[in-house]
Amino acid sequence: MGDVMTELTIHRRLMPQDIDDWKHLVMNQNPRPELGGPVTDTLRERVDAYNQRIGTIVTRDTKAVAEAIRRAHFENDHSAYGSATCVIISGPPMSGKTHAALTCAFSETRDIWGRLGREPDAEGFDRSVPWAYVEVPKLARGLSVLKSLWTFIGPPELAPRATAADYLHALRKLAPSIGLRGIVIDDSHGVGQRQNEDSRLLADILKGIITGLPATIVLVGTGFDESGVLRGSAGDQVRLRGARWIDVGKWHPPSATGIGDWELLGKNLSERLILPNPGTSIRLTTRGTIRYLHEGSRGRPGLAVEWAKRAASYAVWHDVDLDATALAATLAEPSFGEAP
Amino acid sequence: MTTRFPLRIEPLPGEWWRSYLQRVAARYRVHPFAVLERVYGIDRPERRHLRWSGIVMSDAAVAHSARVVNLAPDEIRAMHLKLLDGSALDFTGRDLDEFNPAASLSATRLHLRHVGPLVHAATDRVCPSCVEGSPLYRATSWRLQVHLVCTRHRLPLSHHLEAAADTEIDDEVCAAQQTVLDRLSPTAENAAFFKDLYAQLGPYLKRPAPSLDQALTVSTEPTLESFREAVHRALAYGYPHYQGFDGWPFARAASHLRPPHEVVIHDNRSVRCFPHLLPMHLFAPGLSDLLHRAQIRPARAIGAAGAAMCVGARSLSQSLELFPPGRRNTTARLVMTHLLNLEREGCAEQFWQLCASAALQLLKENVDYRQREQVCDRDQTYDVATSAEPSAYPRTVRTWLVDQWACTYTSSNVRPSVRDGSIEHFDRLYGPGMRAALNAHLRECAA
Repeated sequence: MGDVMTELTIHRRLMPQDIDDWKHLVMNQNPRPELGGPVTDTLRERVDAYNQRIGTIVTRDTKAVAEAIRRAHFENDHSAYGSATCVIISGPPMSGKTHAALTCAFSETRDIWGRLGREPDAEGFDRSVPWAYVEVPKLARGLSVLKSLWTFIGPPELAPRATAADYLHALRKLAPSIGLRGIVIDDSHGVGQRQNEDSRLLADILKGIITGLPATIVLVGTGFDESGVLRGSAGDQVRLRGARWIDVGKWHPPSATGIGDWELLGKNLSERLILPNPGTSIRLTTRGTIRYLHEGSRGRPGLAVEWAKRAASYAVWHDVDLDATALAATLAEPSFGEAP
Repeated sequence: MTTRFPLRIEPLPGEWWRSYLQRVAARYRVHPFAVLERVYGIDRPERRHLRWSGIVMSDAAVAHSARVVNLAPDEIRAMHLKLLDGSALDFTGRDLDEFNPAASLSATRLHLRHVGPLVHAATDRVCPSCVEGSPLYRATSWRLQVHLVCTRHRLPLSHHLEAAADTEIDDEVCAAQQTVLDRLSPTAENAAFFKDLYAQLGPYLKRPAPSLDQALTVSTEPTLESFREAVHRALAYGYPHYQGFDGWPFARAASHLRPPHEVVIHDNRSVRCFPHLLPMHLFAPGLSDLLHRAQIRPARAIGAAGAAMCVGARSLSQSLELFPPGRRNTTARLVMTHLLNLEREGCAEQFWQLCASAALQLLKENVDYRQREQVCDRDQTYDVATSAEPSAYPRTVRTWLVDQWACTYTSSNVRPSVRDGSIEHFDRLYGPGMRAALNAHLRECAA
């Protein structure tokens, strides 16, 4: 699998929007390179690739999302009248919303596939699709969300004149066979951006997906309130049944004394990232560095993780410590401020 | 975007590929064209793509389709009419791309009737009971014009679900239909059977007459009776009168005349050295009695042809390929004429039994008897042959009798006076010893 992964990542990017890539994403095997030998460019490349693929960084948000989804599953599984609970993950861009949702989806998918006793996409069997992931396209209109979901699962295309009810009915029939448990609908705020007839239809469809499909729906988006997607009667129903509303990235800034979410993020990153040169070290837990990470990422954990990985790459190829200096060297907006 | 469908939809027993595609479409609640788009990888499917589905696909197209619908390639091949190639259908010499729906379709495509009598591509037939649980189900064999009756439900296949519900199918028709269905696996024997059956059904299978399935719709009972008769006649191997060959041209009849018994051989080389004339001793147990009306040379040719037909159950025209080209037509005419006479006299069965035992004997000895036509130079062997029987027939001269035997049983230069039967009696008593001596002589010569 490791060889396959390397080959795949070299040649193309794995996309969660494509069910064929999920096998590689879910079963992501990222063997830690052996350190201690001579530092060659080959080793640097392997360490760099390893750092880029370190996967889930456990944070308060990932834990909260996992718990919310677990609870939503429970409520949906034991619902008396088929009413559906969804999970709404809201937060500013690059705050780690998608990461948190996918982490949970991948984890649950891995568990289910592990119990199959065969490859999840083995020929000669119904395909196992425990989770689906769709993005609401920009300027979404009509049935685009349903079509994206349909495309992700992979059946032949419905007739051009198919209605939302046709899609929902067909998906409802299909869901038990493929073992569908959850659907992540990313960038859901895009549904309401136009605030016109299309938006209202999309909001209706969103509500239809939540109530009409036997799966836990996870809505991921930015500024649900402003977009208006959760307004109107359909929006109300979504909002009011979305018992699990999680604001991602709303962490308290690092303090001078205590240990908060940012300090834990720095600690986790330090434990997961590696450097090839034994003479260099990772120092992402110092208060100055944590504060710089927080400010440089504008308080967005998702951005902070990406930045740390970029800095790690810099440290790998320049044989320097992974610290505030490396962060400063890789800051997307250098004019932002001086490293501590 | 994934190319695979999420579900594996099990093919039903004997299901046809086009039917399967339509069931898949119904399962996903989509139009069949949407399935074709993915299965064949084409952008704008048309009705003709669906019409050409289920005949034959290239290996690459099968592999692609198998991946899309989550089936094994062999499961897909088993749903195509190509599976019947070598039994009910014959794709020999056809460019398979002419039938491949995944290839670009051109106007120069062949008509399906070129590979065998199939129901018209735009026509659909069903057994109302078979499709009860699955309305879109169609069996591959329903495409064959010679599949007229569902033997399981004893109903004629019909273009309309409600049309044939009241028709009573008798046991004989069902048995005849089952016989046809049992022979769909591709073997040389089954291919020969269908060739004979189509010949018997000729009037139904030639345009502009209505095809068998159309005739069934118009007049069910007479059509089924004709079908039953055709099956029986096709299977009445070795009885040309019953098979209706009397009125056929000799060449056509020769290609359909087959022996009722097959002598199974494992080594085709022994057939290649099969002599064009049988040694006369194989006539001994009665073949010459049976053919006494013929001159001895034609009688031997008839016996030789009959024995050659029994080996591998070949048609008369196939077995005549072992004969010199100049004698084939004559021999075909002789065999057909004599066999028709024998059948009228009730002796056809005996003829074929004797031919089969002659063939067995020939294969067992595995000797090219034409070698015996050489002159025997060894005095000792000749003496053995001429002194075998001193006083069997008081009124004949002993040396004459032995001379007759030697000529008759070791050479094609036969004396005509053997037809009184005494020579055969002589052979029964002393032939084995004399043959053994001659064989020993031949072996010595060969060494």
